[in-house]
Amino acid sequence: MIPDRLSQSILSAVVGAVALGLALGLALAPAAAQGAPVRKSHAEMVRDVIDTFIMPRVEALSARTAELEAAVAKVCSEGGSEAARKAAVSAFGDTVRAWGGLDFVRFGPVSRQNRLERMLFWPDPRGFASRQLNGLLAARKPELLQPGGLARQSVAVQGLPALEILLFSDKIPLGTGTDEAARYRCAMAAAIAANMRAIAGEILSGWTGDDGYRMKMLAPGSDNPLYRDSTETVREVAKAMAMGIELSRDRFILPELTAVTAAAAPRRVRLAFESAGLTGAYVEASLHALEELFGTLGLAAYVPADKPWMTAFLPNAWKSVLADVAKLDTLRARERGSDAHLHVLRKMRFELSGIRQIIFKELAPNAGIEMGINALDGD
Amino acid sequence: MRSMAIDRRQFLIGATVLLGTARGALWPAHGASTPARDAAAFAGSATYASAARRADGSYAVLLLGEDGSILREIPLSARAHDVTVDPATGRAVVFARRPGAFALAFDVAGARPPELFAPPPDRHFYGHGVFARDGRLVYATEHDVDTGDGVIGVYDANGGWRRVGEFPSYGIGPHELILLADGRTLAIANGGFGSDPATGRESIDIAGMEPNLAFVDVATGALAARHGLPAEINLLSLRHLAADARGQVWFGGQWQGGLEDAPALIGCASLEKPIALLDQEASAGMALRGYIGSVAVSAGGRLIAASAPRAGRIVYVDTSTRNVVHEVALADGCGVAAHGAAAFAISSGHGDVRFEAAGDAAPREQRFPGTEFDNHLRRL
Repeated sequence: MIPDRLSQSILSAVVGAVALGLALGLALAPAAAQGAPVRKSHAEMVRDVIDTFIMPRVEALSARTAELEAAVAKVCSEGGSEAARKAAVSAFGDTVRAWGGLDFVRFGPVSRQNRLERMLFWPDPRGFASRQLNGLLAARKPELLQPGGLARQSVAVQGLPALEILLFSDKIPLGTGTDEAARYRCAMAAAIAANMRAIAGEILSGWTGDDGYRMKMLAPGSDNPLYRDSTETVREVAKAMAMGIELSRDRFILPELTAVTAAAAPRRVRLAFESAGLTGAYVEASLHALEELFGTLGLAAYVPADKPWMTAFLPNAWKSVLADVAKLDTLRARERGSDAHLHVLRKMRFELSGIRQIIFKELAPNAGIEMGINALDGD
Repeated sequence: MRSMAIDRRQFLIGATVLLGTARGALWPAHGASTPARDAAAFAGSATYASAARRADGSYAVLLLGEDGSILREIPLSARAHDVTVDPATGRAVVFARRPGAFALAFDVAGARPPELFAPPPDRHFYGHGVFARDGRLVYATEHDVDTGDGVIGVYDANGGWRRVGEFPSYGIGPHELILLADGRTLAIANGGFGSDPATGRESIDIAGMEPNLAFVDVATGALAARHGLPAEINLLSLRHLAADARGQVWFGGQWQGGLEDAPALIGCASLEKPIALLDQEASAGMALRGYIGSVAVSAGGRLIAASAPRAGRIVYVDTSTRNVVHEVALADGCGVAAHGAAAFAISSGHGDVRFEAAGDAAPREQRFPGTEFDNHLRRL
């Protein structure tokens, strides 16, 4: 909280310095304006985000979960062979990455029937997923393994964290045991994967078709109770950008910083997908997707005329964030809490805060996308 | 975690000292104003208070005059949420927003330096608190980080803001709490979900939400009544409260599910009567974008204003007929507070303070470009 304020002042200072530097250099480079990107209308932004960003990712999630379902089923049918487990682990990673690139899009079909929490129950500070799962494994109810059986259970046991527990347990490699408990365990993993495939399928079908969410967003109007005009739909998609930046910060950077900067006996904060070793892959997928979303929105075309330095600042900030996130897993594994580790975390927080500030204080308003502090981030 | 919180508190205590010594330098209002206005502020004529973010990105509590002019500014180290005031002494407390690590007590008239206090390391504030009727205690909504339970922390307003006790909020995620006219019953909106300071503002277990409105006896901390929602709308987080002239407690909710499924967001209950949502057309919740940012009661106690900043709308509800009787459009309008006998002042994230007039008279407006009024506007 306090350091945020600090980073804000640093940001102001940097922003000022960059502005000065660019103002001096800009006179020599008037050509930059000629290659200025096209300014999209709100309706174009929404259409492009839906058709080139959201829909491909929703389809990919559906495909990845189908592969995961098949792969986990194979682990059980092949008695937990090394090859089958490897394939399932790989399919799990692909699903995590697919979800990471999409989970900040929190409107539409994913917001209904707890689909978001059923795919990824997180944060889970009190280990609810593990406790609930252990309860189910102990009870061994056969009906939970039937199609749709898990969908009525706690959201904590329905998705990625529960499958991670089963797939990445060192004690009992999934599918290897022959007793009833081990067989049930594997069948439960397969049922969770099947459940995720079903959820991803519901998300996909919720977006598609004549009465799907895609059409609802593409056709705002007085007869559309969800969206009256494209100022509302564009706010919805732009908000996903803010959500994604906040999630990356709150889910990865903040807990890590909290854990490694606390002077004594820090509370160990779990990060998502640590057991699977996919923490970095997940946040990397999110940040790459966010950069793509930023590009798809076309907001860079709305750099205010009096702040041309932002044109160069933004791609550099994204580049820095994406380079840093790629280092995080290694730093955490080899030198957790080192100066280098802290530096990367703080730099990421700084860059993300700068990106967020420029998008929502400068570019979005300049593009007529008005989102105040209360609408965007109230409580 | 513990030491982190202590570090933070030490920093904050440092900030208090700074405020104390640099008071003369910091006191004069920012966006201000004239010497006459400043003098008026010191005489205690501030009428409204609101947390805000200033144009330079810094945070503050702003004290506003009856006409909406900014009379004084108290700098804060982070974003705050709501203010509670003891009208008898003119003391007020502003709470950091969820997950909040500090509260700042200040003197509305500016005669005494502000005092900072913090929740224990294993608690965080939710952004709201309320003075006891005699002004000696402040009750704050808090989260027990280890158990996830909601608690009401009790702070000694005359004893250096020492935390002298706590009692349960009888739910998870207590947000706003108000003291009813009897002076001994707290109405607490248990929003239904918590957050962990280590993971910022991420909501924990939305799917498991069971929000409720709890009535608690402050003398004993005992539960007097608790009203929940029908299970099918348990994703409606009960958040902000105001009591009308007849003692009914009105709430504004925030829907955590899909917009298409949003129920009515405004309703009321009392000690004896369960929750009744406004009887509106099915799309009412959707039209308000599933989100009420704050509620306030008019001076006469007949009207309730509920703001929907995501829709840029503020609706007035007649508490006797339970009908929406008026609507105001204001982009990012969120803070609402009584103004005149039957109207409201509304603040927005775009720097507007708008005074609605009763009847057909035109509203008055003050604009503070660059200032973002944050969530609540409190009449002092």
